Amino acid sequence: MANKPDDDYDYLFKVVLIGDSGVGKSNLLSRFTRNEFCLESKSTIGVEFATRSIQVDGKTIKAQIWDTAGQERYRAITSAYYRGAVGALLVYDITKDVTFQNVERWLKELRDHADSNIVISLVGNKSDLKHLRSVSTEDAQSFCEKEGLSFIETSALDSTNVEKAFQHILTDIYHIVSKKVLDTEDGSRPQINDGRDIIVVDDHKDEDKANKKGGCCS
Amino acid sequence: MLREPGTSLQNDGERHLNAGAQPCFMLRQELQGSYINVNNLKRLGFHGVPSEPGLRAVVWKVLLGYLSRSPDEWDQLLARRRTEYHIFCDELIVDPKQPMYSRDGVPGGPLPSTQQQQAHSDQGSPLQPESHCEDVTGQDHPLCLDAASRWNTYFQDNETLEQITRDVVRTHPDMQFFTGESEASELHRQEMRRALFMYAKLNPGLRYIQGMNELIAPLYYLFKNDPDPHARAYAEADAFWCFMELISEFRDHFCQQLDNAPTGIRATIRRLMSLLQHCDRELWYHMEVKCKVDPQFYAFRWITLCLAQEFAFPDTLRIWDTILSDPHGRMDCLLRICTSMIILARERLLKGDFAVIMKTLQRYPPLDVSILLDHASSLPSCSELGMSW
Repeated sequence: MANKPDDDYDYLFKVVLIGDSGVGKSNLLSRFTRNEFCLESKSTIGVEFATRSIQVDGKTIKAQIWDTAGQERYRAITSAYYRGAVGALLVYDITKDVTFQNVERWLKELRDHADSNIVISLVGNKSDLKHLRSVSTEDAQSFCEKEGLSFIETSALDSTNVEKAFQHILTDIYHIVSKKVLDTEDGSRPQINDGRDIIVVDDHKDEDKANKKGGCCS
Repeated sequence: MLREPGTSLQNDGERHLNAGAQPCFMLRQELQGSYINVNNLKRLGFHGVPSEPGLRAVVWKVLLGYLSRSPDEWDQLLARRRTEYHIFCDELIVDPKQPMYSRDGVPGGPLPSTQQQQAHSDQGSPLQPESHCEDVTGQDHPLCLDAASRWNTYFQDNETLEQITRDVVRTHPDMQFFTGESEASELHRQEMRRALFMYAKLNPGLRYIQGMNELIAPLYYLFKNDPDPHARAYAEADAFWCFMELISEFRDHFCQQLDNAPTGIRATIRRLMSLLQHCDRELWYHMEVKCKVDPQFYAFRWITLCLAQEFAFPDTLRIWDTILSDPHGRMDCLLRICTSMIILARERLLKGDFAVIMKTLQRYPPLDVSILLDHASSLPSCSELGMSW
């Protein structure tokens, strides 16, 4: 880690997408990493993985995004997916109240399995379905204030705010991490709590160059 | 012995309708006798069932043990099982507004009963209880906390149905048969949904787990495309029973409580890694030790879904021919095919890091499925390697 990265990114952040099944996690992932949307995409079994790099303050940040199955059964097996995650987008469907009610359960899930310093953002997806809305923006906002989470509403279908949701969380993580780097005297890889890496710098040298600087992957 | 490299593997899926006239003839002949030699059937099926209309449906029904070895018994047997299924439907679809044990064919409940299914197409959401004056002074009512309450069952069923519906509408989004907007597609979803719901009701310990839709889909598709209209009419019941047979072997993978049991998903994934380690130590070392790719990140889906999401649909059917026919057992065969998938991507995997490995195995690159199956048939079986089950 002492060597300066001779690679195509400065930071690698792992971000997980969680939330009830059918809220649109996979479509948020495909919209952000491949600019694709499928009205009916296959249900996710286990985990899916994609990457994309973005620029923040002149640094190239590579996001490694993990999408997980929503059903209860898959939680135990997915707990491994939280390992090393520095960010979580907790997604609910603005047209399905129950998916918002379950947000608390997902927060507990994160508390149980993820690093305590994980940056969490609540995402109300399917904002294009205005006529079917059953969770008000205000309710979600006040919940987030209470829980200390950031909040955004998105539509993976028409792309609204998808880019922004990922940009925000990655920027937040970057700010926390770069501050920690400054705080660390030797500038070595910052760690938190039980020694889990919160960022991984230049560990992945063989990554295809196509992913560099905002390119999409597949 | 039986797994010598196949020479008739050209009949992959439905793309080569006229290929393999010889195996087709032999299979037909095997099925026409008064007593089917299942070992012969397996030997033929292992190399792929030709896509002659209706043939694969019958072969699979026999291989899954749904049809007996004596074709003379089939009519009687099918009539019995199909009736049994419809009785389950009538008894288990709870309509709390109807008096207990009423089977008078009154529409209602979260799913229309099989007799009046065409009239309803409510795949979007389960039916809600109609709002009318309800006498709640009786023993059972919508707010009743009693576990035996029919209303409780109804609400729980609705939750299960919602989950099933969410997945059924996402089954093979690229195929009209499953996700089209026609009435026929709607009926297909309706029938798959009910069959999965019946499974959930009859297996309260497991209920419905995401991914089961992918396992029933190939069965239902085959049976619903049977050239025999009578068989087609009962595709739902037949798919239900065959799904029961198929999943009996793989059900522990779906069960969270068994994740760490010797029959659970983790143990199966470990077996896959042992097989890979045995067959290609260098590749195994690169992936699991050097790049730290936890095999569950890709193999979990491969194994729980029997590869149903990894390949084009006709290729999946071809792969299942072999899995269902393997003399060493279905699980054994599945693990050999998974191992071959990894080995056949060797070059890319060895050059790749964590991300490349993940992407390659999660979105498996297109390949000729006959090459994959040929390769898998050259690998030793788990039992030969002393990996106990």
